Amino acid sequence: MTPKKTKLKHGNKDLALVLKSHQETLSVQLVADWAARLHISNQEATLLVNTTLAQLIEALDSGATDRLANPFAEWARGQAEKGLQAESLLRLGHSLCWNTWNVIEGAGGVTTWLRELVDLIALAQVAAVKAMTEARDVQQRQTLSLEQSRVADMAQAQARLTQQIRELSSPVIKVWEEVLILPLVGSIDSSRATRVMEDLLLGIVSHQAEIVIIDVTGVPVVDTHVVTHLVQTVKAASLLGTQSVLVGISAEVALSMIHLGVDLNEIKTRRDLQSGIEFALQALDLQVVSKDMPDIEDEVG
Amino acid sequence: MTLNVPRIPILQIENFLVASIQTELHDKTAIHFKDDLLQRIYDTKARGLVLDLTAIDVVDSFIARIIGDVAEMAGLMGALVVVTGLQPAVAITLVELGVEMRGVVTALNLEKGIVRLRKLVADDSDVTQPDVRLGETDPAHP
Repeated sequence: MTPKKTKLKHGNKDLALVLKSHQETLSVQLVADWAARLHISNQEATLLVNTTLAQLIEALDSGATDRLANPFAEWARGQAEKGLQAESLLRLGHSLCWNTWNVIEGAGGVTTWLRELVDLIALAQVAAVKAMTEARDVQQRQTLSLEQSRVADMAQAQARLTQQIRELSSPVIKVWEEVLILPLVGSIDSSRATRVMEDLLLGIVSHQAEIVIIDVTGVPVVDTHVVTHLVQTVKAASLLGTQSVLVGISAEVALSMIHLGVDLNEIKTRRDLQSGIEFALQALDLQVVSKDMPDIEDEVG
Repeated sequence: MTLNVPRIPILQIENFLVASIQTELHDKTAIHFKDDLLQRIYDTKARGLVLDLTAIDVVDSFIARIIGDVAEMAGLMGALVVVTGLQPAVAITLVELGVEMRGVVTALNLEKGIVRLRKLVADDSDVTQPDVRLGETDPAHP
């Protein structure tokens, strides 16, 4: 932001000359003051003060106000990142103004010069504050976009995890020809129950399963939703032509099922997974025979 | 029977009828199909019927009721019905609609459906006709 190029009316060359001759005294005062205000080392302050004074003199000498304003604004832009506040910037300008005037007044300055000096420094201040605000805006926007991308990353990671959990949460396992097991672990909500139902039905079709064993050993509690979904799953499976057997119902789950008044008449249940597998084998006219006693089997047959 | 209504072919295998629905089932088509089917059961004296729905993507409550009706009426006429090849999505929709096709036996595919039907018919024959075994019976002259 370039400030308007206002020409100082008159006396600027004289003012510049006076300032130049007292530059060193002024410099010493300002260095002490600014170092304390900005919390910077004397060396840095000296550099800053000398540059600023040189620019001030140049601006006065040439009458071009931007000679001071532009570098000052540039400096403020840089400082914005380090956390410089607009207030300190104004105090710096004030200090520059005050100290300079003291020196000039001591050297027999003219009152009209004060006006010019103040105008010049005020212009530089405004430019600096503007630059600083802009820089801070940019900075904030950057932080914001960084934050946004971070949030987006997190959301993505979250989605991935959820997907993974979903995949893990409803494995449909083939244990024998035409026999599937669906082990349910952990609490089940509506969306998971729907997902489980879909996965199971697709698994039934792809494995052409005759029997599905739904193992709820790992389900700690059930509510109406879960039970309804279980019943629906069993019914849907039976529409496909697959028999379901519910195994591993714990005492608590059995109790709450009865309290919920669910009609479980159409659903076959067995005590545990083993009984479930036995049921499945029986339904398929299969039998597990011990290797040690093949003769007995033959004799019976 | 109007000509613009597509008719669903009903095939006879041994003493069973097989109807595989390949077109979208409109209400009209479904009603015609029902009438056709019952007539065929009457004509052929079939002991069983396999209804293959593999190609059906959408079943609404009306169609579901028709299927249930067909099963019940066929049962009254002495034919057992097995519905096969219901799609998972269709099954979910039916369950969510609360449609229960009571008394309808289901199987995963046509092959299993026929196996099941044979078993059912054999069980049925055991009770009603203890001396007649399946496969030795000529359905036309029992």
